[in-house]
Amino acid sequence: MRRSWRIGALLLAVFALVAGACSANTGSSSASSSESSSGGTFLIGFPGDFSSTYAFYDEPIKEGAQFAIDQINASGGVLGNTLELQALDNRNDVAETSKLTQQLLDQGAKWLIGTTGDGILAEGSQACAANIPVSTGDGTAPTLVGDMGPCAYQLIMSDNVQGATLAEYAIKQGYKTAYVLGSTEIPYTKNLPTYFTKAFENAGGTVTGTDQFKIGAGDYSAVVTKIASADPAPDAIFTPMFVPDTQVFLRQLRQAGVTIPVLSTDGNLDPSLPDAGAKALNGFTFTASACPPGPDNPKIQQFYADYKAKYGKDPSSVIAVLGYDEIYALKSIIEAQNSTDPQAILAGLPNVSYDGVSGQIQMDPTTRRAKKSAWMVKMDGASFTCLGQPGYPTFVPSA
Amino acid sequence: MVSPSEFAQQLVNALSLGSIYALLALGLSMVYGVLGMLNFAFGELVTITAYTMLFLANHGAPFPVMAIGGVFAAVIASILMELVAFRPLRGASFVTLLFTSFAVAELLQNVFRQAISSRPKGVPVPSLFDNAVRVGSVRIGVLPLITAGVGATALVLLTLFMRRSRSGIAMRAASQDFATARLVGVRANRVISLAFAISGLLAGIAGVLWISRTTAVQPTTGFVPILEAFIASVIGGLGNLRGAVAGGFFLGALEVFLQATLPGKILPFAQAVALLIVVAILYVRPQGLFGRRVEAKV
Repeated sequence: MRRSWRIGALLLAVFALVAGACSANTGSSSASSSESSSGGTFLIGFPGDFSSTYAFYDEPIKEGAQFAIDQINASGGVLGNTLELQALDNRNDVAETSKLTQQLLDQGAKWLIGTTGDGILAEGSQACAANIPVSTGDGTAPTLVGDMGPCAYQLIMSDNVQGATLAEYAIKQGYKTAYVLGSTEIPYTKNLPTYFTKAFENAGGTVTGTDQFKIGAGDYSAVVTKIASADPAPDAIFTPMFVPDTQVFLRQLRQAGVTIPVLSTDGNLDPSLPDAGAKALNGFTFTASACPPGPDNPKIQQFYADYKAKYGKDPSSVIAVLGYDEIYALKSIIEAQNSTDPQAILAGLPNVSYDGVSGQIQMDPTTRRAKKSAWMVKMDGASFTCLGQPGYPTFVPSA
Repeated sequence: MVSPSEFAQQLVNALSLGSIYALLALGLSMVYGVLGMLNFAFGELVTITAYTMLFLANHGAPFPVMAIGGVFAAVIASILMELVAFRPLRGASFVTLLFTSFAVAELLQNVFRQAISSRPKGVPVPSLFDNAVRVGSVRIGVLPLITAGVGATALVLLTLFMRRSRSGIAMRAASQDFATARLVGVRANRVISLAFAISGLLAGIAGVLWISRTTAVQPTTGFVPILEAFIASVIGGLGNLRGAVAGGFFLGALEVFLQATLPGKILPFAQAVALLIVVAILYVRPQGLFGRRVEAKV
């Protein structure tokens, strides 16, 4: 009897926690909802990951998008329509993403923001089947638009652009040789080394060594020892490693006495990075979709000031400016087409040209990817310093 | 071809990594030895250690206080885990307990996501950890030295406790044959709670060493530690404490030397190769390197 009471109490506790999680889940969706997009409401759907692995990216995209929508609605909306965001949590579950995408389409969504999570291709294919435009959200893989379908567009910097930007930067710094460290586990860490290598070799550089790392391993001492023993030592190391692995790698690299500069990509612009310490981070350089706020990038600084003035806090990361820019780019298309009809938006997307907070979004109609320059960030000790946008690379490897 | 100095350096790397794996495997084996259950929520004890360290760091605590606080939290969490989740199911089948531990792990990860953040949070560690000393041609980092030292000390103290103390002897008896141990007066609840407490202690110590390397915590921080602990325990012989330690060092060496020696095209398969070697060992010795040939948990 006592045992069954305990089991009952345990099940009750589990039920309470699950119920709590479900209510939190519901709370993550946008405030005002409506049943239909008619009556002057333009519905934007976002089946994003707000509670799992990719919440790191989708949450700030949602924050930035909502901020833009609040601003636009406060100044009269678009062509007399009020914008509305429905952001639903897909928990990085492909089946859930598919279900939520259908739900949003049934509700009359006229634009979908792509999730960074695993369900992005399902979202894209459903959106395209319904002829509704969909973005890649914070997805930087250049192959995404092709895989998602003909209604998919990438409004942010692509991985082949950031690989090429870093290669050009390396050559300008006088680095002639590079050691490239990748991982075949995910497309991001598999393809970026290829893009960097192609651009670096095209510009006259030589890749003298390649190696593999395991994502989330918590130890890179074996790789570090191989790099430390490389003869001749490379001028630079390139790796698309991201936080929290970067901290481990850089600390072990510097502990091993290796002072070779390390170049990396946009997965490192995170508030947890500086805790690796100045000794490990000093000089570490990486590309990003946007720089952290600072005097060198007044638009982003102003975005942060305005956001804080409205919500009383900073956005959870600078990625929020990408969500913000996406909504304003959409507004510019609607105004240029003088229509909120999804087909008119799809017709206008190939020609979109919008100067956003994160830089110029200039769509390439043949690739359906914006020709958007990467930003460069360099660590000064343990502080982020913005090197600005070096411009669109002269050679960009094909996707 | 690996040069002698590179080999020596990789050996140091293997010992440092192996000592963390040994602590983790020992913690997992401790509970398996007594209860015959695999606690897959063991990795979450590492995560709890890390979040406690972060909490204390945010309140201005120096690193030693963060470390002690983190270990203490893991011990308490481990004892509570047994009381709340596993004790009500005492006597249930292996599969029931296994799935209970999965449920606890999943539940805790979701609590971390909802209550703290799904993003990695930086945990500050002393800059001293980034220094290194040179011994001949080998450069040894201060942190790997501390890791190996703390790991070895913990293992020696635990061995002494298990061999010399009354509670330790009771636990060893329980891990040999729990039913008979109870017949001769070993108190079940006390031994099981103690096993979970020591398991938590080892997870806490390993957690502090792990976070000192990674300097960041996220809800899934415990995944790699539990995976490595499980593999190391299986290599050594599930439930065998000496085997868990040997399995930890073996796995550390295997991972480091495969990474160091495999040719470039095979490197993406390093993990698969490591697991194939483990399978080969288990084929020859199904009970693991130190496991008993006949084991039946009741």
